[in-house]
Amino acid sequence: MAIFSLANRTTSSTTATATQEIIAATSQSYRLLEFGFTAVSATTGMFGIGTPGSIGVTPTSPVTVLAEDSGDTTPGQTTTALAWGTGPTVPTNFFRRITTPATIGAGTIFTFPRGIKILKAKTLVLWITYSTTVALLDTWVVVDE
Amino acid sequence: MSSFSISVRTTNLGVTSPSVEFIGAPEERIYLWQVLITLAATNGGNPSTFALAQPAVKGSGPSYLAGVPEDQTVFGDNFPSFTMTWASSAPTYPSNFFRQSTIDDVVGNCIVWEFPNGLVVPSTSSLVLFNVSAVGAADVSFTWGD
Repeated sequence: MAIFSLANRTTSSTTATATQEIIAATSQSYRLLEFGFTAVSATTGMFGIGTPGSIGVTPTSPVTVLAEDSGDTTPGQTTTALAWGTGPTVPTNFFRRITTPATIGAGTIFTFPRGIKILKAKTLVLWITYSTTVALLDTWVVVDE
Repeated sequence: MSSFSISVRTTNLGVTSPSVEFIGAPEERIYLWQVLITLAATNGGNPSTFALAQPAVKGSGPSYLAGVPEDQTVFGDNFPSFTMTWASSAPTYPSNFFRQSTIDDVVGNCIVWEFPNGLVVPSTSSLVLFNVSAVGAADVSFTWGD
């Protein structure tokens, strides 16, 4: 069990799209333990966390999660992506949904004490469920590989 | 394991500046458990964004502040590792962060980051609370064990 985390600032606010994807490596699954975010601008937001219908294709410059115990020399393999050649498609159902007010700093911290298990080469997405554009977000994920 | 905490008012407010630093040491293994940031002064109407990360280069020439024991043990913070000032060079801004949050420009707005398994301070590096944007002065509180 090794804990990794990573912060991002999302780059997309487009309705009915994914704004972030948490990608399991082809040889390593992960458990999502925590997902948090705060809004960067005063814009109403509606979001959901779920497994996409189809995962994103050709993620743009995915970033690898950081070890929270630097004494563990095994590097993380989970990555996060904010843009894609072909984006993920909408989840059929969501693990969590939330609405945030039009206030800078509005947000939430979702914790999953036993983790949401994501299998090798599968993903989770933060999906924009609102009917108009939303705020960009400062997000962070905590995973157990 | 002993637990300590400290609460300070930040003074380095510029963009990409470090606010505070926990510097690792071979003598002890520090587990950071909680970070609480509360805005204490406004930022000219602009939101404040803070982030926690290992720096690209750790600070040098620090003036340490000792943590306050939380468990009333007779053992104090024998290897202080917390600093807000650097006589030689401040830690430098990195590319990636463990946590990042934006706080609206209202005194009292806050964010808390918790690390149930502990965020380990590297023995050869440090953990730094950086300003991603220019920020308002904040009351920041840290809880850790060693």
